[in-house]
Amino acid sequence: MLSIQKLVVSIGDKRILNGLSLDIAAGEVHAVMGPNGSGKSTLAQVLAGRTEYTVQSGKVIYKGQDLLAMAPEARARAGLFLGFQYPVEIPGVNNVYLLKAALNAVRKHRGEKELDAFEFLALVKDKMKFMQIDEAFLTRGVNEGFSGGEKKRNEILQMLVLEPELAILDETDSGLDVDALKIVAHGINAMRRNDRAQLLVTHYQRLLDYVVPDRVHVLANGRIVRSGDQTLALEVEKQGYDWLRDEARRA
Amino acid sequence: MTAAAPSPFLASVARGYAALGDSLGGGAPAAEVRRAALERFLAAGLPSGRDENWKYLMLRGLARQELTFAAPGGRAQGLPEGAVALENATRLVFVNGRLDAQRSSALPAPDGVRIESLRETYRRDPELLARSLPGDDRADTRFALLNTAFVADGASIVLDAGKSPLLHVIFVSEAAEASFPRLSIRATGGATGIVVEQHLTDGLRPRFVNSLTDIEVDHGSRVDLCRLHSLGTGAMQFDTLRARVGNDSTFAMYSLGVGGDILRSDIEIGLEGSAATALLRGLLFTTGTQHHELHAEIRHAVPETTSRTLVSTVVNDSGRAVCNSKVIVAPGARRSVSEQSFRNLLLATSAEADTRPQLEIHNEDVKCSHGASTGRLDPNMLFYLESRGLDEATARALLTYAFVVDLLKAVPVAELSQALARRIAGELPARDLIKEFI
Repeated sequence: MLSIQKLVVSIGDKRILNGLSLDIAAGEVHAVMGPNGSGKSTLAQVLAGRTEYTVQSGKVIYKGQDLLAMAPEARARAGLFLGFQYPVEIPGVNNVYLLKAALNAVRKHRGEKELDAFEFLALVKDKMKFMQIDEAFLTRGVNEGFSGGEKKRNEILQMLVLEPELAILDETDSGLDVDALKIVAHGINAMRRNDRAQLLVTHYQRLLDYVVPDRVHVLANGRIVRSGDQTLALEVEKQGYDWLRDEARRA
Repeated sequence: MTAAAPSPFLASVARGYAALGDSLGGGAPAAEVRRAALERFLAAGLPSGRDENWKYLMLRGLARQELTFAAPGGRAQGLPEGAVALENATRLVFVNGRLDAQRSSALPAPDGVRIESLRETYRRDPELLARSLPGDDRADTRFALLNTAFVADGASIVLDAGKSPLLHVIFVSEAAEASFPRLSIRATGGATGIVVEQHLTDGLRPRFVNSLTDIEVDHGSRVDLCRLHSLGTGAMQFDTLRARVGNDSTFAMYSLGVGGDILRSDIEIGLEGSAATALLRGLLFTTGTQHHELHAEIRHAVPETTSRTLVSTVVNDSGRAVCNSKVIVAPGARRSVSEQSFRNLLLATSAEADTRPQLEIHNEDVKCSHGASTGRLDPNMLFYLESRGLDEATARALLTYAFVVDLLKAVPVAELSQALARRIAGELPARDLIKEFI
């Protein structure tokens, strides 16, 4: 589904990703862990098409296409979804209108019939119930006045409605209490299917207690320094990141 | 020294007064006030580019024009075209400055409000007209003088009880005559009320509208005034608003400019009683070559007064928006709080916004802030929308619309803010892209 090949990315003069390679197959859930500043969020943003970053070299192939050549909206329509670490507030743009436009953009791209307001509302209310989001949400601006946890839940709600083939969730677990974390994890698990993939970017292991990944990668200095199964996440949790950084430096 | 020949504009004003003066009503004392105003105006002339606050607005074109003055006469029936429909409002319609009783709601007014034609007010009490004369002839009060010279009628609204009425005052400028609308609002004794003041024209012809609004809010009262300047193409409006806010009172105004080739609004607010508050929100939306200016001067005269100014502009095509505000805190006005914030959004490379927030503070015990930003849309918001599958053009149009909607949220009359949002959305360059969001 996704193949990242020796990706080198910088912002301004600063190099952030240093030849990162990663392959994710359909049906898999991968977790990328790493300390602050290791390049986790950059990876997520570059995959979604943020233009502030410069790709120096390397390739990203998504479903056989050159992902880096696609505009952000084209990536979204092709089934790629980024759950933001800091979802932005957009007062004046209604939550639900945006979600409907987003869904219909995807459906149009897939050659499916666009949903009318009635069908859409039924769908979104169903997913809101699943994510335990209050109905007042329907009339509010995008993330407007939401708490940190509400914003994250809204990201997952959007994912559930859009049903992306590849979801990249950037620290969706940070800032959540245990109950909210469980709801979010529940949402992510509901998305798992053998024709979809998820990439979880996280600092801590705790999300992985609820969403069991197929592969775990540790990122340091813009490169993957260790990959393994879910036990690697537990090891990181126990020992911190330093031993891996030291190991990477020695290598 | 020989005086230069008066401009065609001034000559037409003098002729107009000679022809109309006697018919303006109010008897001899009122005529005396008008004549004094006229003479002061003719002596001072139109503001020029040398006047600091007028450097962006060249009035040479206006000086060459001749105004036409005629006796009023409303012909149409029903709600004037372009008037926002407000279901529960008491409606007053003025055509070319005079009350059109047929198109207005039936009086007597609801409880807690006394509405009178200013024609009656000034006949009974010419002193009130005299009191509306500006104290000086500086450039910023020039158009208040002109209004005083020609004002024939207008709305007098007195709020004096706890009931909170909604009033809609519509000033229509019909045919090609100059018009001089006037509105006076007084609230006292814990009164509250919402007034929507709308200025519009009946078609696409040259118009000259010279309006004046006087406000007094005192003794624990609150007035919310929504001013909608929605003149048509070819029209220009020179507008003055003066407000005095007394003890424990609040004057909240929403200045919404969405039409007219030229709109110039001079706002002067005095905070003269303890715990007086002024809230000024403005939105200027210009397209084509429209030129809109909002100038506000807020004086904190006594301690513990508050003013908050938030003005946004959206400038399209080769339009121009000028916002100038000055907050003056008097030496004795301790513990005053003042905020000024301006946000400009330029939609085209030839669009221009000029913003100047100023502070003049004469004591140390105050909390004052000001800020201004001009620019483009927030890249984080843009990326968020694009990452949800919206193309860039749609995302930009949507954020522009959102900028407007966000400001209009504060307007206390939902029907008005919705109507205005729809109107602005319909004039955005990329309006077709965001239909489903409106």
